[in-house]
Amino acid sequence: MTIICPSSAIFVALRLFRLRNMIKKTGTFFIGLLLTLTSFAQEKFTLSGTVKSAASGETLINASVEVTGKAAGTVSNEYGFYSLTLPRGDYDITYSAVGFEPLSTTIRLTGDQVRNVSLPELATDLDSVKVTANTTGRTIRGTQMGVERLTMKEINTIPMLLGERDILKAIQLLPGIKSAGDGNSGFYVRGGSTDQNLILLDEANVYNASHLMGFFSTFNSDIVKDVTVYKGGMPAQYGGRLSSVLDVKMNEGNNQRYAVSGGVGLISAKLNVEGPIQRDRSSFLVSGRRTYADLFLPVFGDSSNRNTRLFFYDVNAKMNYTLGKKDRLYLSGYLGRDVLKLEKQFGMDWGNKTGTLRWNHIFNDRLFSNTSFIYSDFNYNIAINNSNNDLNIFSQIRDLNLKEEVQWYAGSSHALRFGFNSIYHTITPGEITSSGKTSYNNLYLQDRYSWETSAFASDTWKAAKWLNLAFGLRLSSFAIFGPGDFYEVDDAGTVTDTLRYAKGALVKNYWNLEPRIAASFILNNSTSVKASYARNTQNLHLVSNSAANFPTDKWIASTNVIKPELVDIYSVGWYKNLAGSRYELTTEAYYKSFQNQIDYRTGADVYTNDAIETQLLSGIGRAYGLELLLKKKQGRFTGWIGYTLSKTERKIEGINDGQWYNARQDRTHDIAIVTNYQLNKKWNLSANWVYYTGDAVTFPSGKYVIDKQIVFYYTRRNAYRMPAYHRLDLGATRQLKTRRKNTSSELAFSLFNAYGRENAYLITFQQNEDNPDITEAMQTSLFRFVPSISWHFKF
Amino acid sequence: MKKRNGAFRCFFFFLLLTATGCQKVIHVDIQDTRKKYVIEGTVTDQEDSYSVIVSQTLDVSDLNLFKGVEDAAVTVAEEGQPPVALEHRGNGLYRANASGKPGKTYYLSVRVGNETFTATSVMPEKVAFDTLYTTSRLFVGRQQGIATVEFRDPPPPGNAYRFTQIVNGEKENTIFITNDKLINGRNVIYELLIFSSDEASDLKAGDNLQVDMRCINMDNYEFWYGVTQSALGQNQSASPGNPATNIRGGALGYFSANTFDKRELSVK
Repeated sequence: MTIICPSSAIFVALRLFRLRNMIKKTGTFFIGLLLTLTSFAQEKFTLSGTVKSAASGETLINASVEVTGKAAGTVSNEYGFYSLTLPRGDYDITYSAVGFEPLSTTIRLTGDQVRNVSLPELATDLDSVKVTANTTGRTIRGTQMGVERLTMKEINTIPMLLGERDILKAIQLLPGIKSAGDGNSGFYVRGGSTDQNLILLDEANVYNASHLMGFFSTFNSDIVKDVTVYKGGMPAQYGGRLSSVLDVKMNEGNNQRYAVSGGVGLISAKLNVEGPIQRDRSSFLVSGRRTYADLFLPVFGDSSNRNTRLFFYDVNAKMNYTLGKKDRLYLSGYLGRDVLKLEKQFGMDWGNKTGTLRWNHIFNDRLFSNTSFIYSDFNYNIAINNSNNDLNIFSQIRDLNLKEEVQWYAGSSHALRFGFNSIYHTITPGEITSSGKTSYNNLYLQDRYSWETSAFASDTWKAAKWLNLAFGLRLSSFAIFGPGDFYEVDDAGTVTDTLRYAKGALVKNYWNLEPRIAASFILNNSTSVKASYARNTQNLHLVSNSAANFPTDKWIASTNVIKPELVDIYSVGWYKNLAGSRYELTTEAYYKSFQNQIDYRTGADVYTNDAIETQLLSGIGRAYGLELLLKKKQGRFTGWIGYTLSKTERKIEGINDGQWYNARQDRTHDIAIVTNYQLNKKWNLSANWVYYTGDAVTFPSGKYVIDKQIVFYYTRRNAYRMPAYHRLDLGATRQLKTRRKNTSSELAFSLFNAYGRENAYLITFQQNEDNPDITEAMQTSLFRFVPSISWHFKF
Repeated sequence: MKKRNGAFRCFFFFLLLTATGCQKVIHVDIQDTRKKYVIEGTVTDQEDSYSVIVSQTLDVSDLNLFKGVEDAAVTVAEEGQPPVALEHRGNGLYRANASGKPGKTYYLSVRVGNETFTATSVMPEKVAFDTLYTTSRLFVGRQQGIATVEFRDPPPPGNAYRFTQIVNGEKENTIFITNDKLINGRNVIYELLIFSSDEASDLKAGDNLQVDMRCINMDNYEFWYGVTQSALGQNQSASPGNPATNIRGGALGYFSANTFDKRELSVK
């Protein structure tokens, strides 16, 4: 916190002192809370309603509702609902949202009032290139830290590999969120592993968020409505993963008119159809995307490519229905599948399926409820088939999930959320089957059953003009059930005992309390200091024996031996709006302490072992860092510069003699510069540049010969570094003329890795082909100078 | 689980194929490290089969000219028998004209300077090598002849096998191992799949093809599995490291009592 000037530290100290007095006066927080709730009930009234887009009828998330001349205000929730309690009187209320014209209205508040508003979309002509609402994630006043919200406009102008717009790739340009490398849509948040990110699509867990082994993400960006990522200090309603929450909400479908949009690119085509089922009341949206890269494979000449398939598709379908003034139902589904086929001999397909049924109910103007019933499924199939043998491998993780969340706008200074979440997980680690006439027996690894339940409550309290507090608590339970054999394992990884459980018998129940606390001290209108603490736990772990992301990476649940992963995240930040909010400066520092982190024994076989515990090691970790983000939000020229300085380490008995060692994702420096320039009405130009320290990797320290073959000798885990990574991408978008209003047509050009840096994807050690006496290090890099063109339309 | 492995390599091969990738040799600074002893000890059911090679590790930047350790005292004992001293035959190779028997336990002792290394290995029962032939099919992009062996895995679980392919007297470096988790008790058709983009490594008409079959114990299977997973210099493994050894005292390598059989044919 040395970055903050001493005067602000004194300011905070003084304020804290006053707060202490205040607490003394009112007793505890909770008594204070109860008092405020009851005392406000008489002379105050509530203004509530839903904020929507006028053009599409889509509800707007995080739209701001401000009272002119007062500090009072609120933002709409994830279903567009807002509730604002004010004393009797006349008010000028301004509704605004990113990308929409603000709307001001005068309201005479003499009783509770419902006011639904529809905001017109911001005209796209150059003169009005302005951002009117300060709701791009970070705010000065709010307590939430470590949150980023990217608009689809920002995401769509970032040049991407092969022109495929991708929200996962876009968020990796933010400080603290690091790409797992070329051809890998996995990402590391503040030193967390790739499996420590909670990825939600309309509230459903997405277990594998990548297509084509990581080159593309499962999210079709055309129909994404909102992307919010929490890097730390997660609100209490989220749980189950240690390091981040990526909450993706899809569009609901236009309930005003039929619309068709889509795009055609070098490797994929997309089509989205939406429209009202009953105008203003209900709508649908169907969207599909398929890649056709494999159609070009024969061009490369190799005869085998003709019988090769490599593609993915995804389908999103949604429907919503307004039942009355107080109820709304949403049904949404996602289906994505990747198919890889090599000749007739090897086939593999994998994908996610999710389904969400949601019911919004407004009990009254201050009490909003959402009930969700969610299904998620990730599975893969491998088929190996040749003249002699055939073999099928199937693996799956399935969730049934019930979630209830109530939002209570308790008064002008309190907003409460509480509810519960209950998920039943069924994991099929591996079923290996064969037709029987071949060399193989069937092998069934035991299915695993677990029930993850949590209850949460949180309160956001505007304690004073200069102080906002948020405190929440999450109680989580993870119960593991039979039937099945569970194992006791000693330090050497040998099974010492097998415990047999009957169907439904409780094997183990882990309870965890997860407090979440955050405070923001508002120094002035443009400056604040925030601090937060959060504890998160995680009971599903991704086990992968490869540094690349394969769909065959395996999700396992905690067992009697594998303990829940746990993290304590401490963060502090300093926030400053500059030049009349044209610039935002965000500085955050964090320290994370991890427990029960999983690593693998050397040469671990995680695929055919029922007692997977025998292949794993467990230990602790720590991560700390400093993140700087300077963002320019208005004008022709927009963009940001992000920088992260960080350290991530693990300490695991059995690796590096139990000493601290760098985690693979330890990166000292990470820089991203993202720029966008609106040249004129027709042309939009963009460029981004990234630089980061190479990953920590294990290289051999020596070599020896076994059976006339060279084998490498290793001494230290992750003691070496990949070369530094850097890359420049360029993009340009040309608007084409369209005849009607609210339609658009554009051509997007991009050049990925514009200066052709050979970034190391892999470094292997091998013998020189001409002189086998020499061992050499061979670097493989993937993409250089990849141009693309794509066409996007909206009618 | 050789099959499974193959699938993954196939996968990886494909990834590299589709990417507009490029490869180049780079310089990597590797810190030199203290040398370690390496022991490769075998006892088979053949004549003159006690064999132990003692060597040391080299630095990564050294030329691949391995020097044997010539002053070691090496003995192998069969259970219930006195130890047999192995005689140094040059460049770290120690041998004794003795043969092992399935079901017996063997004890290895190697003394170098004031360090002593010991290991124990039980020779598994012999499984017959039924036939060797070649099958021809499209594989990694071209029609290839593939060495195929047949054997019948016995009903009790716990068997493991290692094959080596030798063409015109030259050993192919692919490691072919399988345990019986998936093939227990079955008549097994096992293909020696070689993932190489180099056509020169394909079987050609007139080649002399020899395949060796070893019935190995689980310790030795774990060692070779470890080698394939994490010690061949390919760091796409999440945890490169040294394969599990059954040698006590801090040496690398293995001691294996295994059966041995071979078949030969002339490729048509």
